[in-house]
Amino acid sequence: MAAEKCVSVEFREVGKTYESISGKVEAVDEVSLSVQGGEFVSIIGPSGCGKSTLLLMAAGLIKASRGKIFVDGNPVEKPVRNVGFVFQDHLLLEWRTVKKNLLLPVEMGKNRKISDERIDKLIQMVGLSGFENRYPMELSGGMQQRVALCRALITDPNLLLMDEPLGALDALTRQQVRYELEKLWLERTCTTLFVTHDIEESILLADRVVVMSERPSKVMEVVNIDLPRPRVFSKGIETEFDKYKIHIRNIFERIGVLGSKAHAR
Amino acid sequence: MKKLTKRNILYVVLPIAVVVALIILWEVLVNALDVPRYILPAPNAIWAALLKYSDWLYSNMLYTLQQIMVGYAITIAVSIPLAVAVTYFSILDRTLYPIMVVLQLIPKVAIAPLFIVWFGFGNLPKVLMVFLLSFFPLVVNSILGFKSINHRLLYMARSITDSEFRTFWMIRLPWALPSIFAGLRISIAFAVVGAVVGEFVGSDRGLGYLLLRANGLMLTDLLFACLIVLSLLGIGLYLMITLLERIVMPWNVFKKELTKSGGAATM
Repeated sequence: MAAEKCVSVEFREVGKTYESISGKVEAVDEVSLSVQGGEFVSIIGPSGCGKSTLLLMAAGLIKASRGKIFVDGNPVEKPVRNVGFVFQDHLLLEWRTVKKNLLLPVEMGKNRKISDERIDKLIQMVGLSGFENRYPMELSGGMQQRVALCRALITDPNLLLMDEPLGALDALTRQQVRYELEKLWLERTCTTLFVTHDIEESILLADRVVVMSERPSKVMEVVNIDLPRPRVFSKGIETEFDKYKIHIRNIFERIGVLGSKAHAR
Repeated sequence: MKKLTKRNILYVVLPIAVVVALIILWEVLVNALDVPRYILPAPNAIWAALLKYSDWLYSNMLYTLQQIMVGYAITIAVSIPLAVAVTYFSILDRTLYPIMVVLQLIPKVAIAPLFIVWFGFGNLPKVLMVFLLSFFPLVVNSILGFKSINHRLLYMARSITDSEFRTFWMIRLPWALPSIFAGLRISIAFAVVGAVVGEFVGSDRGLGYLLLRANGLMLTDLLFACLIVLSLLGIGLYLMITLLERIVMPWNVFKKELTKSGGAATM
């Protein structure tokens, strides 16, 4: 396990205001959050609350309007290297086969060497053996997202950023890919920020869940999830699990995202 | 993969049968109604003209083809770099692109006589006419192709590398290829039109010239023969682009087949 390679991420009073022709949009009001190396942190909040913005800022792909972000103790000023990205859409290149898609970060990054063994192992772990030379369009949605997951992990990233990676999948496939995700993550722990709008999903994989308010967003609460791993097949954690679920639901009801107040608007 | 099912055979045989039937009907009607040759020659007369004037048609076809190839090469050499520039520099996108879109609306054929005034009767005005007609579809399609890139893909690329060249070569260009080829296919058809118009206005060679000449001499059978050669030329060039597309983008052919057959998986 290469946990020592894992980087910490720190948001220090970070805010983001988008400026467009139609005016200013306050996406993130103020977020302070400290993520330790090797931690899995879920970020949950209503849509449009700037969750994705937080990820892009952490990767150094867009600039924060206020505050500072540190990755591995260094202030983020340009794109952070060795970051794995998974988005809601798989973003596989349709002109590349599965294997070539996996190798894209290697070919583009140039300086890294990846052994065939590692590729084969990844492919095998997510059940894609035999599909190496297929084009993405030949795969089902779940398989496509699995390839996207492997692509993000191929270079052994120090930081994994996932923006609703299961959002586009149907309920059953979602469970399956979630299982693969946990398996892959346990095999090689790295610092992970996981954006979602699904309460169950946020709890299931996380060490901590960051609950965000509506735009302009703030951190409402950080919930520590104290459940044994692996969680997908663990029996007997249902009651504990439900406790966290209700807790987070209550936060959203309190701030008016869920419940009677939300309906009244 | 395509299978030779009864239905597929029918789809090939049926259009051919219709065309053959129409030609026979044409032959019969022209003879029965005694239509004068200079108004509408019968198919067998056109065929005879094709054979009779074959040397003449061939040498003029070569000339026209040459103008098309040179003009089209210039189109490709100008359009694609220009599309890349417009993609990368937003200042060009805001200035040049709208101008090009408006210019596209000008009836370019009307400029042909001006080219004669400026550039005389040599190859240059024809080549320029080919370029002028084929340029816009290619450049506009290429720009649309480059611009349609998924921005999250670019985010991903930037988190992997600083190399804009590799991002272009591995992501932006292949992404735009289907649009570029759509542009190439439209452009080649316009290139043929451009060459004919160029030869109409002032030439002593080429199929466009031969068409006018046949018209003046009331050799309507030769005129039809010219039309056929010209059409075959256009179809041949179009097929060459399609062939090139298959070689350059094998995955795209595959995708089309998937969508046609209902598709095993969706994108």
